[in-house]
Amino acid sequence: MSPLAVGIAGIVALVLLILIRIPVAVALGLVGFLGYAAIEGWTRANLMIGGVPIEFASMYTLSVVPLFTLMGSVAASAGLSADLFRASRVMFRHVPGSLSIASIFASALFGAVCGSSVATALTMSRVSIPEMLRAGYPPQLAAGAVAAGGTLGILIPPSLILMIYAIIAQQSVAKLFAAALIPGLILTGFYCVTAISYYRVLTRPTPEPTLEEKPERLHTALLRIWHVIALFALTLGGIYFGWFTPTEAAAIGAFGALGLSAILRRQNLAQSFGCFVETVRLVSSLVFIVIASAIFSYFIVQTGISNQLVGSVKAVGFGPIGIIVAVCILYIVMGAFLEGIGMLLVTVPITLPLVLSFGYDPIWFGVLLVILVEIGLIHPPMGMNLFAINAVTKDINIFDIYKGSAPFLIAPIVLIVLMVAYPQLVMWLPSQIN
Amino acid sequence: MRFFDVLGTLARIFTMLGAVALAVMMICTTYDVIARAAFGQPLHGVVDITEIMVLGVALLGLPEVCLRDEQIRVDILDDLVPATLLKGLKLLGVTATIAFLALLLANIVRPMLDAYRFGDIKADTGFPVYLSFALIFICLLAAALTTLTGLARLVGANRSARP
Repeated sequence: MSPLAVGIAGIVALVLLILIRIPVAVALGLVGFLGYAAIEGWTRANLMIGGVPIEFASMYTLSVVPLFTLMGSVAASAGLSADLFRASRVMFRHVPGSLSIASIFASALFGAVCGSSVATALTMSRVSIPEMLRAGYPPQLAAGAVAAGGTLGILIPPSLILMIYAIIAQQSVAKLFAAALIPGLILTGFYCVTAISYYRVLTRPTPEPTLEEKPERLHTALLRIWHVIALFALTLGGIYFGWFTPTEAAAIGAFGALGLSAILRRQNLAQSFGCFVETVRLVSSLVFIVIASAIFSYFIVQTGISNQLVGSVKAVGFGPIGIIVAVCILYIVMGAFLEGIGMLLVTVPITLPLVLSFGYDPIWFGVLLVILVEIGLIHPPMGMNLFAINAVTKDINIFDIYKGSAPFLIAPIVLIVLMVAYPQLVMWLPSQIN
Repeated sequence: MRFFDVLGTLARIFTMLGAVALAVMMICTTYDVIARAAFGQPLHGVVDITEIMVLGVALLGLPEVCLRDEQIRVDILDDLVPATLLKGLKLLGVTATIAFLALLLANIVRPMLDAYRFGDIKADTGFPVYLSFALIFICLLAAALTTLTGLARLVGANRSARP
Protein backbone atom coordinates (compact mmCIF):
# COMPACT_ATOMS: atom_id res chain seq x y z
CA MET A 1 0.00 0.00 0.00
CA SER A 2 1.21 3.49 -0.78
CA PRO A 3 1.62 5.95 2.14
CA LEU A 4 -1.36 7.89 0.78
CA ALA A 5 -3.58 4.79 0.82
CA VAL A 6 -2.41 4.01 4.37
CA GLY A 7 -3.25 7.61 5.31
CA ILE A 8 -6.77 7.40 3.91
CA ALA A 9 -7.33 3.99 5.57
CA GLY A 10 -6.03 5.46 8.83
CA ILE A 11 -8.42 8.42 8.73
CA VAL A 12 -11.40 6.14 7.95
CA ALA A 13 -10.37 3.81 10.81
CA LEU A 14 -10.01 6.79 13.16
CA VAL A 15 -13.52 8.04 12.39
CA LEU A 16 -14.98 4.54 12.85
CA LEU A 17 -13.17 3.97 16.14
CA ILE A 18 -14.32 7.34 17.50
CA LEU A 19 -17.91 6.61 16.45
CA ILE A 20 -17.91 3.24 18.27
CA ARG A 21 -17.06 4.90 21.59
CA ILE A 22 -13.31 4.30 21.68
CA PRO A 23 -11.85 7.25 23.68
CA VAL A 24 -10.59 9.95 21.28
CA ALA A 25 -7.06 9.77 22.69
CA VAL A 26 -6.87 5.99 22.33
CA ALA A 27 -8.22 6.05 18.77
CA LEU A 28 -5.73 8.75 17.75
CA GLY A 29 -2.80 6.97 19.40
CA LEU A 30 -3.49 3.48 18.10
CA VAL A 31 -4.26 4.59 14.54
CA GLY A 32 -1.25 6.91 14.56
CA PHE A 33 1.11 4.18 15.80
CA LEU A 34 -0.14 1.41 13.49
CA GLY A 35 -0.23 3.75 10.49
CA TYR A 36 3.29 5.01 11.19
CA ALA A 37 4.49 1.41 11.56
CA ALA A 38 2.86 0.46 8.25
CA ILE A 39 4.84 3.19 6.47
CA GLU A 40 8.12 3.38 8.39
CA GLY A 41 8.36 -0.05 10.05
CA TRP A 42 7.94 -1.19 13.66
CA THR A 43 11.39 -0.13 14.87
CA ARG A 44 10.90 3.51 13.89
CA ALA A 45 7.31 3.49 15.16
CA ASN A 46 8.48 2.20 18.55
CA LEU A 47 11.15 4.90 18.74
CA MET A 48 8.64 7.60 17.81
CA ILE A 49 6.00 6.56 20.36
CA GLY A 50 8.61 6.21 23.13
CA GLY A 51 9.71 9.82 22.76
CA VAL A 52 6.34 11.54 22.42
CA PRO A 53 5.11 11.53 26.07
CA ILE A 54 8.18 13.32 27.47
CA GLU A 55 8.40 15.65 24.48
CA PHE A 56 4.84 16.91 24.80
CA ALA A 57 3.97 16.45 28.49
CA SER A 58 7.03 18.31 29.77
CA MET A 59 6.93 21.26 27.38
CA TYR A 60 7.42 24.61 29.11
CA THR A 61 4.68 26.13 26.95
CA LEU A 62 2.20 23.48 28.16
CA SER A 63 2.35 25.00 31.65
CA VAL A 64 -0.05 27.82 30.63
CA VAL A 65 -2.85 25.23 30.35
CA PRO A 66 -2.98 24.06 33.99
CA LEU A 67 -2.21 27.51 35.38
CA PHE A 68 -4.94 29.36 33.46
CA THR A 69 -7.33 26.43 34.09
CA LEU A 70 -6.63 26.80 37.80
CA MET A 71 -7.36 30.53 37.60
CA GLY A 72 -10.72 29.80 35.94
CA SER A 73 -11.56 27.06 38.40
CA VAL A 74 -10.87 29.35 41.37
CA ALA A 75 -12.90 32.17 39.76
CA ALA A 76 -15.87 29.83 39.26
CA SER A 77 -15.61 28.32 42.73
CA ALA A 78 -15.29 31.76 44.37
CA GLY A 79 -18.59 32.90 42.86
CA LEU A 80 -17.18 35.75 40.75
CA SER A 81 -19.86 35.05 38.13
CA ALA A 82 -22.61 36.23 40.50
CA ASP A 83 -20.81 39.56 41.07
CA LEU A 84 -20.34 40.03 37.36
CA PHE A 85 -23.98 39.33 36.61
CA ARG A 86 -25.21 41.77 39.27
CA ALA A 87 -22.89 44.51 38.02
CA SER A 88 -23.85 43.91 34.37
CA ARG A 89 -27.54 43.96 35.31
CA VAL A 90 -27.14 47.46 36.74
CA MET A 91 -25.19 48.65 33.70
CA PHE A 92 -27.83 47.53 31.20
CA ARG A 93 -30.98 48.02 33.23
CA HIS A 94 -32.46 50.58 30.78
CA VAL A 95 -31.97 48.40 27.69
CA PRO A 96 -34.75 46.07 26.45
CA GLY A 97 -33.95 42.49 27.43
CA SER A 98 -31.53 43.85 30.02
CA LEU A 99 -31.15 40.60 31.97
CA SER A 100 -30.24 38.58 28.88
CA ILE A 101 -27.71 41.25 27.86
CA ALA A 102 -26.34 41.31 31.39
CA SER A 103 -25.94 37.54 31.18
CA ILE A 104 -23.99 37.78 27.90
CA PHE A 105 -21.85 40.69 29.13
CA ALA A 106 -21.12 38.93 32.43
CA SER A 107 -20.17 35.78 30.48
CA ALA A 108 -17.73 37.84 28.40
CA LEU A 109 -16.17 39.27 31.57
CA PHE A 110 -16.08 35.85 33.19
CA GLY A 111 -14.46 34.50 30.02
CA ALA A 112 -11.65 36.97 30.69
CA VAL A 113 -10.64 34.96 33.75
CA CYS A 114 -11.93 31.52 32.79
CA GLY A 115 -10.85 29.78 29.60
CA SER A 116 -13.62 27.21 29.41
CA SER A 117 -16.91 27.61 27.60
CA VAL A 118 -18.82 24.89 29.45
CA ALA A 119 -17.59 26.20 32.83
CA THR A 120 -18.77 29.70 31.87
CA ALA A 121 -22.17 28.39 30.72
CA LEU A 122 -22.56 26.26 33.86
CA THR A 123 -21.74 29.02 36.32
CA MET A 124 -23.73 31.69 34.48
CA SER A 125 -26.78 29.44 34.12
CA ARG A 126 -26.85 28.90 37.89
CA VAL A 127 -26.68 32.66 38.46
CA SER A 128 -28.69 34.27 35.68
CA ILE A 129 -31.34 31.83 34.41
CA PRO A 130 -33.33 31.70 37.68
CA GLU A 131 -33.37 35.54 37.76
CA MET A 132 -34.49 35.77 34.12
CA LEU A 133 -37.26 33.23 34.67
CA ARG A 134 -38.35 35.00 37.86
CA ALA A 135 -38.54 38.29 35.91
CA GLY A 136 -40.82 36.65 33.32
CA TYR A 137 -38.30 36.18 30.49
CA PRO A 138 -39.21 33.48 27.95
CA PRO A 139 -37.24 30.31 28.81
CA GLN A 140 -35.87 30.05 25.25
CA LEU A 141 -34.29 33.51 25.50
CA ALA A 142 -32.87 32.83 28.96
CA ALA A 143 -31.28 29.55 27.84
CA GLY A 144 -30.12 30.92 24.47
CA ALA A 145 -28.43 33.97 26.00
CA VAL A 146 -26.54 31.87 28.54
CA ALA A 147 -25.55 29.21 25.97
CA ALA A 148 -24.27 31.86 23.56
CA GLY A 149 -22.61 33.90 26.31
CA GLY A 150 -20.86 30.75 27.50
CA THR A 151 -19.09 30.38 24.16
CA LEU A 152 -17.30 33.68 24.82
CA GLY A 153 -15.33 31.81 27.50
CA ILE A 154 -13.20 30.16 24.81
CA LEU A 155 -12.81 33.18 22.54
CA ILE A 156 -12.01 35.93 25.00
CA PRO A 157 -8.52 35.15 26.31
CA PRO A 158 -7.31 33.21 28.21
CA SER A 159 -8.82 30.40 26.14
CA LEU A 160 -8.19 26.71 26.77
CA ILE A 161 -8.75 25.81 23.11
CA LEU A 162 -6.38 28.53 21.89
CA MET A 163 -3.72 27.22 24.27
CA ILE A 164 -4.15 23.68 22.92
CA TYR A 165 -4.08 25.01 19.34
CA ALA A 166 -0.90 26.96 20.14
CA ILE A 167 0.77 23.71 21.23
CA ILE A 168 -0.25 21.56 18.27
CA ALA A 169 0.23 24.29 15.64
CA GLN A 170 3.42 25.59 17.35
CA GLN A 171 2.18 29.17 17.49
CA SER A 172 2.68 31.95 20.04
CA VAL A 173 0.09 31.83 22.84
CA ALA A 174 0.49 35.58 23.38
CA LYS A 175 -0.26 36.35 19.72
CA LEU A 176 -3.25 34.01 19.68
CA PHE A 177 -4.66 35.65 22.81
CA ALA A 178 -4.17 39.09 21.27
CA ALA A 179 -5.77 37.96 18.01
CA ALA A 180 -8.88 36.63 19.75
CA LEU A 181 -9.61 39.75 21.79
CA ILE A 182 -11.19 42.01 19.12
CA PRO A 183 -13.32 39.21 17.58
CA GLY A 184 -14.38 38.32 21.14
CA LEU A 185 -15.56 41.86 21.80
CA ILE A 186 -17.35 42.05 18.43
CA LEU A 187 -19.09 38.73 19.08
CA THR A 188 -20.19 39.97 22.51
CA GLY A 189 -21.77 42.98 20.76
CA PHE A 190 -23.45 40.75 18.16
CA TYR A 191 -24.86 38.46 20.84
CA CYS A 192 -26.26 41.51 22.70
CA VAL A 193 -27.94 42.78 19.50
CA THR A 194 -29.38 39.27 18.94
CA ALA A 195 -30.67 39.20 22.53
CA ILE A 196 -32.40 42.60 22.13
CA SER A 197 -34.01 41.54 18.83
CA TYR A 198 -35.02 38.15 20.17
CA TYR A 199 -36.49 39.75 23.29
CA ARG A 200 -38.55 42.15 21.16
CA VAL A 201 -39.83 39.31 18.95
CA LEU A 202 -40.74 37.02 21.85
CA THR A 203 -42.23 39.63 24.18
CA ARG A 204 -43.58 42.18 21.68
CA PRO A 205 -46.75 43.15 23.53
CA THR A 206 -45.33 43.26 27.04
CA PRO A 207 -43.08 45.88 28.60
CA GLU A 208 -39.65 45.04 30.03
CA PRO A 209 -40.24 43.05 33.22
CA THR A 210 -38.71 44.68 36.26
CA LEU A 211 -37.36 43.08 39.39
CA GLU A 212 -38.97 44.12 42.63
CA GLU A 213 -35.74 44.81 44.45
CA LYS A 214 -34.24 48.32 44.51
CA PRO A 215 -31.55 48.68 41.82
CA GLU A 216 -27.97 49.10 42.92
CA ARG A 217 -26.00 52.24 41.98
CA LEU A 218 -23.65 51.84 39.00
CA HIS A 219 -20.45 52.74 40.85
CA THR A 220 -21.33 50.35 43.69
CA ALA A 221 -21.93 47.59 41.15
CA LEU A 222 -18.64 48.32 39.40
CA LEU A 223 -16.80 48.32 42.71
CA ARG A 224 -18.13 44.82 43.23
CA ILE A 225 -16.19 43.52 40.22
CA TRP A 226 -12.89 45.34 40.72
CA HIS A 227 -11.15 42.04 41.40
CA VAL A 228 -12.11 40.56 38.03
CA ILE A 229 -10.99 43.71 36.20
CA ALA A 230 -7.73 43.72 38.18
CA LEU A 231 -7.03 40.04 37.39
CA PHE A 232 -7.75 40.53 33.70
CA ALA A 233 -5.68 43.72 33.48
CA LEU A 234 -2.74 42.12 35.28
CA THR A 235 -2.60 38.83 33.37
CA LEU A 236 -3.62 39.76 29.83
CA GLY A 237 -2.26 43.32 30.10
CA GLY A 238 1.04 41.84 31.27
CA ILE A 239 1.22 39.62 28.19
CA TYR A 240 0.22 42.38 25.74
CA PHE A 241 2.72 44.88 27.15
CA GLY A 242 5.48 42.27 27.25
CA TRP A 243 5.90 42.30 31.05
CA PHE A 244 5.34 38.56 31.38
CA THR A 245 5.46 35.43 29.25
CA PRO A 246 2.07 33.64 29.03
CA THR A 247 3.26 31.06 31.59
CA GLU A 248 4.26 33.80 34.04
CA ALA A 249 0.97 35.64 33.47
CA ALA A 250 -0.94 32.40 34.07
CA ALA A 251 0.96 31.73 37.31
CA ILE A 252 0.36 35.27 38.55
CA GLY A 253 -3.31 35.05 37.52
CA ALA A 254 -3.81 31.76 39.39
CA PHE A 255 -1.93 33.08 42.42
CA GLY A 256 -3.94 36.33 42.29
CA ALA A 257 -7.27 34.48 42.00
CA LEU A 258 -6.39 32.34 45.02
CA GLY A 259 -5.24 35.42 46.97
CA LEU A 260 -8.40 37.36 46.12
CA SER A 261 -10.70 34.48 47.03
CA ALA A 262 -8.91 34.25 50.38
CA ILE A 263 -9.01 38.00 51.04
CA LEU A 264 -12.69 38.20 50.08
CA ARG A 265 -13.35 35.05 52.16
CA ARG A 266 -14.97 33.34 49.19
CA GLN A 267 -13.45 29.91 49.74
CA ASN A 268 -11.57 28.02 52.42
CA LEU A 269 -8.39 25.99 52.13
CA ALA A 270 -10.22 22.73 51.33
CA GLN A 271 -12.18 24.40 48.50
CA SER A 272 -8.96 25.88 47.12
CA PHE A 273 -7.29 22.46 47.18
CA GLY A 274 -10.38 21.08 45.44
CA CYS A 275 -9.71 23.54 42.58
CA PHE A 276 -6.15 22.19 42.27
CA VAL A 277 -7.38 18.58 42.20
CA GLU A 278 -10.10 19.37 39.63
CA THR A 279 -7.52 21.14 37.45
CA VAL A 280 -5.11 18.19 37.57
CA ARG A 281 -7.81 15.76 36.44
CA LEU A 282 -8.95 18.01 33.59
CA VAL A 283 -5.41 18.70 32.41
CA SER A 284 -4.46 15.01 32.55
CA SER A 285 -7.32 13.99 30.28
CA LEU A 286 -6.41 16.84 27.88
CA VAL A 287 -2.69 16.06 27.80
CA PHE A 288 -3.42 12.39 27.14
CA ILE A 289 -5.22 13.51 23.96
CA VAL A 290 -2.42 15.94 23.08
CA ILE A 291 0.13 13.08 23.34
CA ALA A 292 -2.05 10.82 21.17
CA SER A 293 -2.67 13.65 18.71
CA ALA A 294 1.08 14.15 18.36
CA ILE A 295 1.45 10.44 17.47
CA PHE A 296 -1.32 10.82 14.90
CA SER A 297 0.32 13.98 13.50
CA TYR A 298 3.63 12.15 12.98
CA PHE A 299 1.69 9.51 11.02
CA ILE A 300 -0.17 12.10 8.92
CA VAL A 301 3.12 13.84 8.05
CA GLN A 302 4.56 10.51 6.83
CA THR A 303 1.55 9.85 4.58
CA GLY A 304 2.01 13.12 2.68
CA ILE A 305 -1.78 13.33 2.66
CA SER A 306 -1.78 17.08 3.36
CA ASN A 307 0.29 17.82 0.25
CA GLN A 308 -1.94 15.54 -1.84
CA LEU A 309 -5.02 17.23 -0.44
CA VAL A 310 -3.64 20.69 -1.22
CA GLY A 311 -2.86 19.59 -4.78
CA SER A 312 -6.29 18.02 -5.28
CA VAL A 313 -8.16 20.98 -3.82
CA LYS A 314 -6.24 23.42 -6.04
CA ALA A 315 -6.80 21.18 -9.07
CA VAL A 316 -10.55 21.22 -8.42
CA GLY A 317 -10.35 25.01 -8.63
CA PHE A 318 -10.99 26.04 -5.04
CA GLY A 319 -9.84 29.57 -4.32
CA PRO A 320 -8.95 31.03 -0.89
CA ILE A 321 -12.61 31.88 -0.16
CA GLY A 322 -13.84 28.50 -1.40
CA ILE A 323 -11.45 26.62 0.86
CA ILE A 324 -12.51 28.62 3.92
CA VAL A 325 -16.19 28.00 3.13
CA ALA A 326 -15.44 24.26 2.76
CA VAL A 327 -13.46 24.19 6.03
CA CYS A 328 -16.25 26.06 7.85
CA ILE A 329 -18.90 23.62 6.59
CA LEU A 330 -16.71 20.67 7.57
CA TYR A 331 -16.22 21.96 11.12
CA ILE A 332 -19.85 22.97 11.59
CA VAL A 333 -21.01 19.49 10.53
CA MET A 334 -18.39 17.79 12.72
CA GLY A 335 -19.27 20.11 15.60
CA ALA A 336 -22.74 18.56 15.62
CA PHE A 337 -21.23 15.27 16.78
CA LEU A 338 -17.74 15.82 18.13
CA GLU A 339 -16.42 17.54 21.23
CA GLY A 340 -14.45 20.74 20.45
CA ILE A 341 -10.94 19.94 21.65
CA GLY A 342 -11.09 16.39 20.30
CA MET A 343 -12.30 17.71 16.94
CA LEU A 344 -9.43 20.20 16.82
CA LEU A 345 -6.77 17.64 17.69
CA VAL A 346 -8.05 15.15 15.13
CA THR A 347 -8.33 17.61 12.25
CA VAL A 348 -5.69 20.34 12.63
CA PRO A 349 -2.80 18.16 11.35
CA ILE A 350 -4.73 17.91 8.06
CA THR A 351 -6.57 21.24 7.75
CA LEU A 352 -3.79 23.58 8.91
CA PRO A 353 -1.35 22.82 6.05
CA LEU A 354 -4.27 23.00 3.62
CA VAL A 355 -5.37 26.45 4.78
CA LEU A 356 -1.78 27.75 5.03
CA SER A 357 -1.17 26.72 1.40
CA PHE A 358 -3.85 29.23 0.40
CA GLY A 359 -1.96 32.05 2.12
CA TYR A 360 -3.91 32.29 5.38
CA ASP A 361 -2.09 33.06 8.62
CA PRO A 362 -1.99 30.29 11.29
CA ILE A 363 -2.93 32.82 13.99
CA TRP A 364 -5.98 33.93 11.98
CA PHE A 365 -6.92 30.29 11.38
CA GLY A 366 -6.64 29.52 15.11
CA VAL A 367 -9.20 32.23 15.90
CA LEU A 368 -11.46 30.97 13.09
CA LEU A 369 -11.29 27.44 14.54
CA VAL A 370 -12.29 28.67 17.97
CA ILE A 371 -15.35 30.43 16.49
CA LEU A 372 -16.27 27.25 14.61
CA VAL A 373 -15.92 25.25 17.83
CA GLU A 374 -18.18 27.88 19.49
CA ILE A 375 -20.85 27.21 16.87
CA GLY A 376 -20.57 23.48 17.66
CA LEU A 377 -21.09 24.26 21.34
CA ILE A 378 -24.52 25.80 20.76
CA HIS A 379 -25.94 23.89 17.82
CA PRO A 380 -28.01 20.71 18.11
CA PRO A 381 -27.81 17.85 18.65
CA MET A 382 -24.51 17.70 20.55
CA GLY A 383 -23.94 21.31 21.71
CA MET A 384 -22.17 20.88 25.04
CA ASN A 385 -23.34 24.25 26.38
CA LEU A 386 -26.95 23.24 25.73
CA PHE A 387 -26.50 20.06 27.76
CA ALA A 388 -24.70 21.98 30.52
CA ILE A 389 -27.68 24.35 30.81
CA ASN A 390 -30.10 21.43 30.69
CA ALA A 391 -28.21 19.75 33.53
CA VAL A 392 -28.40 22.85 35.73
CA THR A 393 -31.90 24.16 34.94
CA LYS A 394 -34.39 21.32 34.98
CA ASP A 395 -37.28 23.80 34.41
CA ILE A 396 -36.33 24.33 30.75
CA ASN A 397 -36.58 21.33 28.46
CA ILE A 398 -33.88 20.56 25.90
CA PHE A 399 -36.05 21.50 22.90
CA ASP A 400 -36.65 25.01 24.31
CA ILE A 401 -32.89 25.26 24.79
CA TYR A 402 -32.35 24.19 21.15
CA LYS A 403 -34.89 26.77 19.98
CA GLY A 404 -33.41 29.46 22.20
CA SER A 405 -29.86 28.98 20.93
CA ALA A 406 -30.80 28.96 17.22
CA PRO A 407 -30.97 32.77 16.69
CA PHE A 408 -27.57 33.13 18.34
CA LEU A 409 -25.96 30.98 15.63
CA ILE A 410 -26.22 33.89 13.18
CA ALA A 411 -23.77 36.09 15.13
CA PRO A 412 -20.64 33.87 14.84
CA ILE A 413 -21.37 33.27 11.14
CA VAL A 414 -21.52 37.04 10.53
CA LEU A 415 -18.27 37.39 12.48
CA ILE A 416 -16.57 34.79 10.25
CA VAL A 417 -17.70 36.69 7.15
CA LEU A 418 -16.24 39.88 8.65
CA MET A 419 -12.99 38.10 9.52
CA VAL A 420 -12.61 36.84 5.95
CA ALA A 421 -13.39 40.29 4.51
CA TYR A 422 -11.25 42.19 7.05
CA PRO A 423 -8.45 39.91 8.39
CA GLN A 424 -7.01 42.96 10.22
CA LEU A 425 -9.77 42.50 12.80
CA VAL A 426 -7.79 39.49 13.94
CA MET A 427 -4.25 40.34 12.89
CA TRP A 428 -3.93 43.97 13.99
CA LEU A 429 -3.55 43.45 17.75
CA PRO A 430 -0.97 40.61 17.48
CA SER A 431 1.12 42.86 15.24
CA GLN A 432 1.15 45.51 18.00
CA ILE A 433 2.26 43.38 20.95
CA ASN A 434 5.79 43.43 22.25
CA MET B 1 -12.74 -5.92 46.08
CA ARG B 2 -10.08 -4.75 48.50
CA PHE B 3 -7.54 -4.56 45.67
CA PHE B 4 -9.86 -2.17 43.76
CA ASP B 5 -10.21 0.03 46.85
CA VAL B 6 -6.44 0.21 47.26
CA LEU B 7 -6.09 1.16 43.58
CA GLY B 8 -8.75 3.85 43.99
CA THR B 9 -6.92 5.33 46.98
CA LEU B 10 -3.63 5.15 45.09
CA ALA B 11 -5.15 6.98 42.13
CA ARG B 12 -6.46 9.70 44.46
CA ILE B 13 -3.02 10.07 46.05
CA PHE B 14 -1.49 10.44 42.56
CA THR B 15 -3.96 13.24 41.73
CA MET B 16 -3.15 14.98 44.99
CA LEU B 17 0.57 14.79 44.19
CA GLY B 18 -0.30 16.37 40.84
CA ALA B 19 -2.07 19.16 42.74
CA VAL B 20 1.07 19.70 44.82
CA ALA B 21 3.14 19.84 41.59
CA LEU B 22 0.73 22.48 40.26
CA ALA B 23 1.12 24.52 43.44
CA VAL B 24 4.92 24.27 43.27
CA MET B 25 4.87 25.37 39.61
CA MET B 26 2.61 28.34 40.38
CA ILE B 27 4.61 29.47 43.42
CA CYS B 28 8.02 29.11 41.75
CA THR B 29 6.95 31.02 38.64
CA THR B 30 5.30 33.78 40.67
CA TYR B 31 8.33 34.05 42.95
CA ASP B 32 10.62 34.20 39.89
CA VAL B 33 8.64 37.11 38.39
CA ILE B 34 8.51 39.05 41.67
CA ALA B 35 12.15 38.40 42.61
CA ARG B 36 13.30 39.35 39.11
CA ALA B 37 11.30 42.58 39.06
CA ALA B 38 11.96 43.62 42.65
CA PHE B 39 15.52 42.47 43.32
CA GLY B 40 16.89 41.59 39.89
CA GLN B 41 17.43 38.02 41.13
CA PRO B 42 15.38 35.46 39.19
CA LEU B 43 14.91 31.96 40.58
CA HIS B 44 17.66 29.74 39.20
CA GLY B 45 16.33 26.84 37.12
CA VAL B 46 12.71 27.98 37.05
CA VAL B 47 12.24 26.67 33.49
CA ASP B 48 13.52 23.22 34.52
CA ILE B 49 11.30 23.23 37.62
CA THR B 50 8.27 24.20 35.51
CA GLU B 51 9.00 21.48 32.94
CA ILE B 52 9.31 18.81 35.66
CA MET B 53 6.20 19.99 37.51
CA VAL B 54 4.06 20.30 34.37
CA LEU B 55 4.93 16.68 33.60
CA GLY B 56 3.60 15.75 37.04
CA VAL B 57 0.43 17.83 36.58
CA ALA B 58 -0.13 16.37 33.12
CA LEU B 59 0.21 12.70 34.04
CA LEU B 60 -0.41 12.22 37.77
CA GLY B 61 -4.14 12.73 37.26
CA LEU B 62 -4.33 10.08 34.54
CA PRO B 63 -4.91 7.04 36.84
CA GLU B 64 -7.93 8.73 38.42
CA VAL B 65 -9.22 9.88 35.01
CA CYS B 66 -9.07 6.25 33.83
CA LEU B 67 -10.63 4.98 37.05
CA ARG B 68 -13.54 7.42 36.77
CA ASP B 69 -13.81 6.77 33.02
CA GLU B 70 -13.54 10.52 32.33
CA GLN B 71 -11.80 10.26 28.98
CA ILE B 72 -13.27 12.30 26.14
CA ARG B 73 -15.31 10.10 23.81
CA VAL B 74 -18.22 10.41 21.39
CA ASP B 75 -21.32 8.66 22.74
CA ILE B 76 -23.89 9.37 20.03
CA LEU B 77 -24.51 5.62 19.57
CA ASP B 78 -25.49 5.08 23.20
CA ASP B 79 -29.21 5.61 22.61
CA LEU B 80 -29.27 3.98 19.18
CA VAL B 81 -27.79 0.52 19.76
CA PRO B 82 -29.13 -2.41 21.84
CA ALA B 83 -27.90 -2.64 25.43
CA THR B 84 -25.89 -5.81 24.73
CA LEU B 85 -24.02 -4.17 21.88
CA LEU B 86 -23.39 -1.10 24.00
CA LYS B 87 -21.83 -3.26 26.70
CA GLY B 88 -19.65 -4.87 24.03
CA LEU B 89 -18.55 -1.44 22.78
CA LYS B 90 -17.73 -0.35 26.32
CA LEU B 91 -15.61 -3.48 26.76
CA LEU B 92 -13.89 -2.77 23.48
CA GLY B 93 -13.16 0.82 24.55
CA VAL B 94 -11.60 -0.27 27.84
CA THR B 95 -9.58 -3.01 26.13
CA ALA B 96 -8.31 -0.56 23.50
CA THR B 97 -7.31 1.87 26.28
CA ILE B 98 -5.31 -0.86 28.02
CA ALA B 99 -3.66 -1.79 24.71
CA PHE B 100 -2.64 1.84 24.06
CA LEU B 101 -1.31 2.32 27.59
CA ALA B 102 0.62 -0.96 27.31
CA LEU B 103 2.09 0.21 24.00
CA LEU B 104 3.27 3.47 25.58
CA LEU B 105 4.64 1.63 28.62
CA ALA B 106 6.58 -0.88 26.54
CA ASN B 107 8.19 1.84 24.47
CA ILE B 108 9.09 4.22 27.30
CA VAL B 109 11.54 1.73 28.85
CA ARG B 110 14.23 2.06 26.19
CA PRO B 111 14.56 5.88 26.23
CA MET B 112 14.43 5.75 30.06
CA LEU B 113 17.35 3.28 30.17
CA ASP B 114 19.24 5.31 27.55
CA ALA B 115 18.77 8.50 29.59
CA TYR B 116 20.09 6.64 32.67
CA ARG B 117 23.01 5.05 30.82
CA PHE B 118 24.16 8.30 29.20
CA GLY B 119 23.55 10.41 32.32
CA ASP B 120 21.19 12.88 30.64
CA ILE B 121 20.40 15.83 32.90
CA LYS B 122 18.38 19.06 32.76
CA ALA B 123 20.56 22.01 31.78
CA ASP B 124 20.02 24.36 34.74
CA THR B 125 19.21 22.13 37.69
CA GLY B 126 21.11 18.97 36.79
CA PHE B 127 17.93 16.95 37.37
CA PRO B 128 18.37 13.44 35.89
CA VAL B 129 16.12 13.01 32.84
CA TYR B 130 15.59 9.31 33.52
CA LEU B 131 13.56 10.30 36.59
CA SER B 132 11.13 12.17 34.33
CA PHE B 133 10.80 9.02 32.24
CA ALA B 134 10.31 7.01 35.44
CA LEU B 135 7.49 9.34 36.48
CA ILE B 136 5.80 8.83 33.09
CA PHE B 137 6.26 5.06 33.43
CA ILE B 138 4.74 4.95 36.92
CA CYS B 139 1.77 7.14 35.89
CA LEU B 140 1.06 5.07 32.77
CA LEU B 141 1.37 1.83 34.77
CA ALA B 142 -1.05 3.13 37.41
CA ALA B 143 -3.43 4.28 34.64
CA ALA B 144 -3.27 0.82 33.03
CA LEU B 145 -4.04 -0.81 36.39
CA THR B 146 -7.00 1.47 37.09
CA THR B 147 -8.31 0.84 33.57
CA LEU B 148 -8.02 -2.89 34.27
CA THR B 149 -10.20 -2.25 37.31
CA GLY B 150 -12.80 -0.76 34.98
CA LEU B 151 -12.53 -3.80 32.72
CA ALA B 152 -12.98 -6.17 35.68
CA ARG B 153 -16.03 -4.20 36.85
CA LEU B 154 -17.56 -4.29 33.37
CA VAL B 155 -17.00 -8.05 33.02
CA GLY B 156 -18.35 -8.59 36.55
CA ALA B 157 -21.45 -6.52 35.78
CA ASN B 158 -22.03 -8.49 32.56
CA ARG B 159 -21.74 -11.82 34.43
CA SER B 160 -24.10 -10.79 37.22
CA ALA B 161 -26.61 -9.47 34.66
CA ARG B 162 -26.87 -12.93 33.01
CA PRO B 163 -29.89 -15.03 34.05
